[in-house]
Amino acid sequence: MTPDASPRLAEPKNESWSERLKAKLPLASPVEVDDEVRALLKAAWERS
Amino acid sequence: MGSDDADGMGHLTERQKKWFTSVREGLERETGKSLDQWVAIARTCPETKPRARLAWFKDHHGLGQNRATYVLSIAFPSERPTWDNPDESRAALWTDPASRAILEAVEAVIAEFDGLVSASARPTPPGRANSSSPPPSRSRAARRCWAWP
Repeated sequence: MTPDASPRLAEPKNESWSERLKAKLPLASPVEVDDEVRALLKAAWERS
Repeated sequence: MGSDDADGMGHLTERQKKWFTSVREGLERETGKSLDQWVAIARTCPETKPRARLAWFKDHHGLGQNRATYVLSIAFPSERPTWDNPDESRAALWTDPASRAILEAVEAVIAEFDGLVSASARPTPPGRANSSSPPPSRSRAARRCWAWP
């Protein structure tokens, strides 16, 4: 998944635990884990 | 490589075992030193904190993040969380209740994905492959993000 898949996705920057990330999605609270996040996770999982 | 118990990978999935094996082989092939030699070097590190040890490895020996982390996990096994005890590792990694609530919300939405492997010790629903935990991170910023490989 790349950041152009959703406006909520951002470019990763120097994440210390992985050098192969293509996008990240900041989450400030559990309520932000909505249907769109689920769909993005599902799409990423199916592509992996 | 020896048996799963002998090499300490008995708790890993086949994919994880393959990844660690490739890291080990690449380490020896590309650095000219065996894992045991790197572990011996790691034990000479004067630093005591994980990030400082990683920086020391990179500065003094040119070892990158993944390889240094792997070597340090073997050199100092009692000082780092491992997946031998998933619940303990989760508790150590997700100490902030607000971040943990986000983790659990994400876990809830991915629980139905087929074929994911969980780092959690929660029971797996009958007829379903394990659910998934996110990539662990000690970074507060990273805890609040979800990342796509």
